[in-house]
Amino acid sequence: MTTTVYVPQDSSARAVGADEVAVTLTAECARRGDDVRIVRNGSRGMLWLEPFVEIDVDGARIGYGPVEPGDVADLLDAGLLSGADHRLKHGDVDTMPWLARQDRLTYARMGVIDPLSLDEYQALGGLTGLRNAIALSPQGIVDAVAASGLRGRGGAGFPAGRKWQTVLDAPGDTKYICCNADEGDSGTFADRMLMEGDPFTLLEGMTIAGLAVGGTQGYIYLRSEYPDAGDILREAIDGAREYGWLGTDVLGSGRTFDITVRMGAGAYICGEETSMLDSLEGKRGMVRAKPPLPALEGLFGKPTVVNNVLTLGSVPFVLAEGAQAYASRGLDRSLGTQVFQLAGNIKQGGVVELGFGVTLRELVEDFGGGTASGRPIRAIQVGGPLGSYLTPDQLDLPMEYETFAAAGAMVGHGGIVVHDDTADMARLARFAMEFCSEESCGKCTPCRVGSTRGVEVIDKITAGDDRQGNLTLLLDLCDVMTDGSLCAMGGLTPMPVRSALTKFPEDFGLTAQEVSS
Amino acid sequence: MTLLHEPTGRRTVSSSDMGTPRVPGEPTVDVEIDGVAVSVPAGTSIMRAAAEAGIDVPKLCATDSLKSFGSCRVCLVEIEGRPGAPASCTTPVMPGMKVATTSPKVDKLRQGVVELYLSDHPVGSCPEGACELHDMAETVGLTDVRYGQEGHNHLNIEVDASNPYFSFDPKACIVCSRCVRACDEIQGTFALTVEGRGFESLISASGTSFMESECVSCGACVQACPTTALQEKSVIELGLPTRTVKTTCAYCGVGCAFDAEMRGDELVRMTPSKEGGANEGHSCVKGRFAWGYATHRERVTAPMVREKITDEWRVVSWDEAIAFTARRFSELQQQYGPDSIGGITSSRCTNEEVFVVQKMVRAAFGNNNVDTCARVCHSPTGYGLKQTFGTSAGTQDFKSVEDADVILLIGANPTDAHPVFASRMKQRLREGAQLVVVDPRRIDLVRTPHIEAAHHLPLLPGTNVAMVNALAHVVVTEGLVDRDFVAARCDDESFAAWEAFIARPENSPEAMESATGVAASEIRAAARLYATAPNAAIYYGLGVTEHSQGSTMVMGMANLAMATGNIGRVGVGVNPLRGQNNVQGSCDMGSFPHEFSGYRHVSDDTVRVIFEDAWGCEMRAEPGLRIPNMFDAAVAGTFRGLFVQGEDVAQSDPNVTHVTAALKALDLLVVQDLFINETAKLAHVFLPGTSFLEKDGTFTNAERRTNRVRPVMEPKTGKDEWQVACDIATAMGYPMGYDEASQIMDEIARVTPTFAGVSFAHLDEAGSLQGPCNDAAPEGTPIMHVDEFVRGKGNFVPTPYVPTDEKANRKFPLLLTTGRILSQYNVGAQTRRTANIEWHPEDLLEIHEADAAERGISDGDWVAVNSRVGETHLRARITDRVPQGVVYTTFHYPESGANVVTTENSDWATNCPEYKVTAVQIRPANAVDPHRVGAGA
Amino acid sequence: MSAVDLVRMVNQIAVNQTHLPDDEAAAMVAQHLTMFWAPAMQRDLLAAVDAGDADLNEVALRAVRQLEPA
Repeated sequence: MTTTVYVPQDSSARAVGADEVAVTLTAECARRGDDVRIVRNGSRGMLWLEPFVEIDVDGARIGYGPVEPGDVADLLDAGLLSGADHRLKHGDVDTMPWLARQDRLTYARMGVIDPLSLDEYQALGGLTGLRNAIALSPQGIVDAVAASGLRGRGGAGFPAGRKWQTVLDAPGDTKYICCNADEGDSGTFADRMLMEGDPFTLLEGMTIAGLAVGGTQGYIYLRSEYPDAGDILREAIDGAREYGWLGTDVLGSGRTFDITVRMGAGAYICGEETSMLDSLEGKRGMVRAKPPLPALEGLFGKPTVVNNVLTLGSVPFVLAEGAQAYASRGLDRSLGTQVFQLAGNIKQGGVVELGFGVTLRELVEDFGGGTASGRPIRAIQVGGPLGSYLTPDQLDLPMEYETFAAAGAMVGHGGIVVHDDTADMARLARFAMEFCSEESCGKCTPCRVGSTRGVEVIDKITAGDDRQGNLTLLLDLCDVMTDGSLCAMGGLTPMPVRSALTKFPEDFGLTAQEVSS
Repeated sequence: MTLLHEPTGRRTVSSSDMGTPRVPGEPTVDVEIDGVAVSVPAGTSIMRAAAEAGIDVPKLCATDSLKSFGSCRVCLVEIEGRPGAPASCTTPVMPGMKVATTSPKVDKLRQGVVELYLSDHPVGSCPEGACELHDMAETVGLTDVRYGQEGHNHLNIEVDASNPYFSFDPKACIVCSRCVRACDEIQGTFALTVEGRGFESLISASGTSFMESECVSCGACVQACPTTALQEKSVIELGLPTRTVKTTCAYCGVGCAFDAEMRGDELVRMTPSKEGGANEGHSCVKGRFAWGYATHRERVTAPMVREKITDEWRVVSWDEAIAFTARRFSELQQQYGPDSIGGITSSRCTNEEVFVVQKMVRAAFGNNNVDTCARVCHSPTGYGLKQTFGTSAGTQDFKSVEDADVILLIGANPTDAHPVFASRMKQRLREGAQLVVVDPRRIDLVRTPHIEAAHHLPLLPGTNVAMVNALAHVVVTEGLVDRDFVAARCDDESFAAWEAFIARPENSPEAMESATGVAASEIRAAARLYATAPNAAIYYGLGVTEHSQGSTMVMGMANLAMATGNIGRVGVGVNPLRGQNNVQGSCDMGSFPHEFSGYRHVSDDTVRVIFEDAWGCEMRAEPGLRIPNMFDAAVAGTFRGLFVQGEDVAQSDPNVTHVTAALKALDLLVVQDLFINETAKLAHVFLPGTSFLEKDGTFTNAERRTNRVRPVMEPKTGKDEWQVACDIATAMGYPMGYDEASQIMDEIARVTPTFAGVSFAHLDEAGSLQGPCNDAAPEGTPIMHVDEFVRGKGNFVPTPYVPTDEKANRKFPLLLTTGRILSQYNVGAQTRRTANIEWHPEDLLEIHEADAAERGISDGDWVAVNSRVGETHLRARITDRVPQGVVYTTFHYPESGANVVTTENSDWATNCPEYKVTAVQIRPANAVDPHRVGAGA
Repeated sequence: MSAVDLVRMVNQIAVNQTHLPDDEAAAMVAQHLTMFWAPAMQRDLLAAVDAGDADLNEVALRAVRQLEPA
């Protein structure tokens, strides 16, 4: 009898040797005459356990990890293929608390299926949402998305239903669906994992969006650092075309929808939606002033839905299980689930999908297990490199858009980066400005010139050069960047800077009184 | 009459910059800005609405000639009920919006932004008033740059001085992208870009120097630059101008309005005027920069005479020169009869100057031997449009192209010859209008950044009529005629005759394929595209007129436009792109031997009586000699004296050998010009002319727009040019005199119905006026033939294709055709005396690779070009722009002698020379021997 | 003026009227000459025809015969 063995092909697993594990397993089983089928699945998101190998034993998935190539022979000797005990064994994966405690909707199939198997995809509910959508009117689909409360997962949290409605109502025969897969924020990887581990979910979400607003062409704007995701997406698109899903007759509906993958060229700013549109048009990626909204004048000047991978990836669930099922999760105006990503100095990094409202403490301590170094947490940056630094006393904040905004922070894309007590917060504040100066598109003055001056002024402060005068200048600069920048890049850069200044003035050689006065 | 403006610093636009472009439409949105209520069209920016309300919002990256960009962040405002500080340039007004353009918050933000700019900008290097950034620092009240300048900066980057007219100093650049956007949006060349990102962003001529880049030196970037980063070298050398005179460019038929910016009596620079109806603030390398010829050392400013052309010139007083001229003309008339002398007017001169010369001929010479250089360019336009529509005039204003959906471009190369209009056309094409190019050569517009012609029909030279007949055949036989238009607006009988003619099988694309060399399927597709467009417009140039069937072709295009209903509204029409600045005007002024001003035939008794009354002398009822007839008659010995106003016929007219023989045969050749040109070398009297910078008068451009030309300096010759003709006429016994040029226009208006409403005062008030301008159209006529054609019903004229006699044969197997290049102008008398020669130091012969290989010619080789009338030498450029069998050259240098090889063939109706088709043979030659050029002469 | 030039010109005008019956074409050519040709040119052409050294085509010849001797 053939035993199915799962070895993730997710980039994070491959980065720690999953390919070598798969090769060794294949060779070792062949040598031993063991009849195995190796499936390269997506990652379950428990990154500290990668490469995480799973064995299908009578329908149950028994997990082992982290597996190194050198462990393979030992594992096989111990009876890996029958799910035998071993020091690396974690038992039935479904019952592992880290996973069992999550509420995986968008990530429902993540790590479970062969990413490119349409059969397995459909066996676990795939295409149900699209089929339901085909039965609805465009307005019906938009209504469902609006009722689900789904908000943009890219960071801004704009209601997806409202955006879709604008595009639906916009006149014109040509409309586009653009998926922003330029996942550039440090400490974020949930988009990539979905594209590598369950690409059909994204394609399904985009197809539903196309049917909803009347768009016939979708583009996935993928960052150049994700070549594997590109290969998988293209293969998935080919499969969907062959199946009669993408193309001129979407699942027999008579409707047209197709998807093309476009690779970026390494600019962080192209994750900003208007720059991304410029880049998709073949131009230098520069931020456009809004208005006009991309929903009205987007790609090639046509009405365009621009959504993040996880936003579109959440849509199939909404259409399959109903808006209410989705809206029943979450808190206040932040409905549904978010795929949080734990990174930085953390013991158990990875992906946690839960309804909004979970506290930072639950994520960092319960799931994350505290710092990897074992030292006390000093600061946590949520929402990417331009998010505020939070302190341990803020760990009980519920992850929810409005609550975080009120605390001067942001949920953003759900990335959480932990620093222990050795972190130099002045250096991190300087890094924020430096990051901005490296990645600024150069269009608006506050970002183009301001970020470079920001680095210089912070250097002057930390060097003790007219600390008070330069502090005033830095705070003025932060105001100019916040209120004056054209896009969120320059506008948000002061967030980590200000939070580092006010919460850790001593790292700048300043006192709390100096900073607050 | 000179309009003086107060010193205005860098920008001399007379109206303030509204920040963002005008949005068309009714003012329907009411907003309140700083408490001032204002109503503007929907879609208008807050910035522009504020400007309408008289409130200037500080700005750097915004200017009303460019789409809003939103990069500088100086124009931030606060809007009641909205968070943050949106940029007023990119935020449109909404009904009821209340905006504060100033508040403690935005004031401080602006200071902060300007402070950032100044942390990377040279201190004290910009002359007072030359830099909007320094102005802005003052406006926002910034006194101290706390960052200092010791941080990361761009203050050590070298200046790019490669362009002869302007330099780029990256130190002063604020990366506002106004230059890049001007190059993209206005000029359409896309030569500039921003390199690098973030703080490293730098304006770049696509990675090379300006001179080596695609830059066409139109000056739009310099005009757009708010600082001294892009600046005219003349300003760097002479300092900022202190006063401005509004005037009109004297190069091509586009007729761009310029501000001549003066410092004392010295011209510092020419900047295009936003109020100019033809150019709306844009310019090309010639009008913007190539005006230095006016003070070139070779310019002659004193009159000169000589008995024989082999004598040395003798500088004389004006009185002596005029007395000499008048005496000799009179003597010739006494000896050889009244018809033995004549004159040629110049399309380079003002309407007033042209009018007095033709008046001198008709009244003082007493004959109709007056012609104009339009004879050799657009006389077929006059004939063809008069026959079909009833008057010799392009039907549209330039702005009309903004509403065209399909543009049929025939025998014109606007990006080189009419660059400012080309930019406008390209803007429309980038918006999605479709283009059909009919030209043997692959001109730039066939494929240029963001533009690709839907069809290029590379017909063989000389087969235009075959082409237009084939196009019309498709319209008629595929049911694409606009029957309603034809029934309502056109003459039934002429249409029926034409329809029957054009439907004949011999006019089908298939039948014409062998003549035109263009696949019938392409012709059919192009015809369908033209005929089915909501608005389709024809634009054409000398590639239409300068043929043995030039007039036929003009009528063919008129037929096509009428049959498809593409006449009489915005976005359509039949539009000649006139070569010279005042072709339209010189024709309007009665320069043709058969017509008085306003295109009225000399045989018309009622018209003659008007002039006889006005001028107090008898008018002749029969046509006089046309230019080629004058030359023929001179060779025959019956024509003995000629006055030539500002035209180098010995270089510009075909078959130079013949022309030279004719000129040498004259007893008196009088040339009025700026330079001793090829014609003047054969003259007995040289009367120094005035440059456009010294003229007071009017030019009328290709869209019938009469613009004022105003003197920015006294005539360097000591005499207005119009005065010279008056003095000669007076000395010949016919007193002619005016106190000032405006009186000439007053006389033109009195005797010319289409100019009845034109006066200098009216022009000064209106800016410009498009003819006809009279009681029926007091403010002019932007679009012609709106309700009915000038002749009443549109007249269809059958256009049988008659192949030219000038055919490729065994001895002369290639067809030579000619054209112009952007940086040079016609025979080059002006542009060759400017730095424009850096772009085009010599004329080249374009030849297809196969034709070159067959003859053993490599790129850059000297070749001999032989026709049946002469031989000249050029260097070869191997290219795929011309098809096999066709060679091409420009004709800007006398040494190239293009007209040494062109023949006596001409348009059957007007004798316009067939410049565009000459059968030639090409062979390799040794390096050119300048003495051999024009060897036939 | 030289007969060769004048004959070439009038013949060319005539061959551009082939869409008309010969009599109308001739009238058209004659009208054209009257409208656009200086009397001296018409005179010289007539003289050349009378002298028999004008190789005119049919229509051109008929047109010239309609010209009034100036």
